[in-house]
Amino acid sequence: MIVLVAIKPLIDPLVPVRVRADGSGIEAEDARLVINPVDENGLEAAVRLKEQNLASTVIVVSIGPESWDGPLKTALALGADRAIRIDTNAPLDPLPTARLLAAVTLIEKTTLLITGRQAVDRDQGVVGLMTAGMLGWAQAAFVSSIDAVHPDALTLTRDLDHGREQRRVPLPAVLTVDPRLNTPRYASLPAIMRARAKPVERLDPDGLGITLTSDLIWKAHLPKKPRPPGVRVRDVQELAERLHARGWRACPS
Amino acid sequence: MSILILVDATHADGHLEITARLIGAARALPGPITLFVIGEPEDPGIAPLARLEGVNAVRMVALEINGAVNAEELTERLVTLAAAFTHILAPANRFGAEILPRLGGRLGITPVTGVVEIDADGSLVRAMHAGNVLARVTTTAHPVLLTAHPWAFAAVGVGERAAPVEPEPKLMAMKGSTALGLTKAVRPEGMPGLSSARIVVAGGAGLEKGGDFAPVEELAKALGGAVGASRGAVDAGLAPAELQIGQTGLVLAPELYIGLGISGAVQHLAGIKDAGCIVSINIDPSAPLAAMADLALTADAREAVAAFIKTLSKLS
Repeated sequence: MIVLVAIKPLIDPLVPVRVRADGSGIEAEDARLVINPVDENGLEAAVRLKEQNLASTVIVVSIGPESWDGPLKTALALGADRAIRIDTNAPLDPLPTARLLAAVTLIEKTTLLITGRQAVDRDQGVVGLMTAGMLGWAQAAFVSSIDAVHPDALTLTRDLDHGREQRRVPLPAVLTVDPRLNTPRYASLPAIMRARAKPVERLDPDGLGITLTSDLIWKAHLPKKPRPPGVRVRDVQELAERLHARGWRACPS
Repeated sequence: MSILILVDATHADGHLEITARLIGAARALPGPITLFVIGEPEDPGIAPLARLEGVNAVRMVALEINGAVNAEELTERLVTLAAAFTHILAPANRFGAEILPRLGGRLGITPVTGVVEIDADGSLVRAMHAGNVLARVTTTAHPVLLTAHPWAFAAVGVGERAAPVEPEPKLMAMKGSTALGLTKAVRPEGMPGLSSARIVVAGGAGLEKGGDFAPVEELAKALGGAVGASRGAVDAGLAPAELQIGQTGLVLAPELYIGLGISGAVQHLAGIKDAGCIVSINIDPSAPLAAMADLALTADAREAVAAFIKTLSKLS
């Protein structure tokens, strides 16, 4: 089974985000790129499948500029066999991203495509499942556990609005994973050194015959207004009094 | 112009409230509103949906296997309907986040997710970067696919007149993809569902030492609120995953939020930024939630809760 893991490099989410003064987007100068944290869970799941001899090859793929080779090399150090970057000047919107991803999935004869449930920069959470729709493959969203791997299917657990569902999903399939799925490993220093020498394969989107136009128009970006400063209360008494003054009451017991 | 709103009525938790708010959102757009309701037609929770103000028609879809929505089959049904609508809306919960992107893939349309504002000109405002940035987006797609946060919109009322309910063919389980079982969330009788609660009491990893979630449950009961959790608490096994609030959990805006033993990681704060009043009880005064809170008490949450309930009860 060939497993393809789509990863999105993004500005370290622990760094406070700054909106450009003209509202055209997010300030990205000098930003350190990391792999979208939830995509790391997807990669970890794929590498574990390979370690259990349930996957033959783990390929990571990304669609973006050359600066994204760094995070792709990290993915190689974390256990991916190959890394592919579809070369574009800038990150793309979900529609062309999903189209390119579907194309690579078929070219690489993949049976399992894994992505994180959302990239924590734009928080759209659509690329993985759009790709599933384009391929016409089965899907499992919000996977928090891979319970069993059968020759033609997976048994998975996923977290829904009203509980946890276990489902048998036929292959080929697309999974979008939740951070609860696993704890990603750290790359060892020798693995990082070895990955430096490995190539990141570059694909030209023109060669795939896919138009890169988007249907979204990003008109403006605004920083969220900060909340007014709060009050540090001395003790339980003051907290109760202040909440009472705001109209909050305990239910009659 | 005509609008289709998807309603997951397969479980009892708050679908009337969620739908009332999505209709509130859709009212910014011209055109009649149709509800596409997935559930059991005999369920007594279904009838009030048809009486929500502004609803022109209801399409009722039953499932072959009760409670197990098959995303692939549901999407194929929606593909056959999509051309008749200018907008297809779903709530920005896991149901909407699972269905609309697949539908988008089938139709070649990017869904606009996490919408908190709809303007008369059709432009949409959505939150991103863990709720720290608001982006204004328009789309050239037809139909427009979007998921909206119910809390960001005022609910319409339930009226006397019921819209006609047309039954649709059952949704069959897809060959191969089979729901094997559902472990349903149980919550104490009388406690509101988390997604629509006015008051939310959430617990974090700071409660791990005591080994249980009792302070959160007791305070929620005393206030008539719902129980929520941080990812730390879920990871520590103190609370089930469906109670997780945050960037990869539920994004909420209750009138009152109280965090017990929650330090406030970026991804958790993403889920509560729009709460009316934020209270933190935590031992660490430098924690991000304490810094953001409207009212912050530096104390061991497990120890402070009983005294707080007693004091508030005396005042009430």
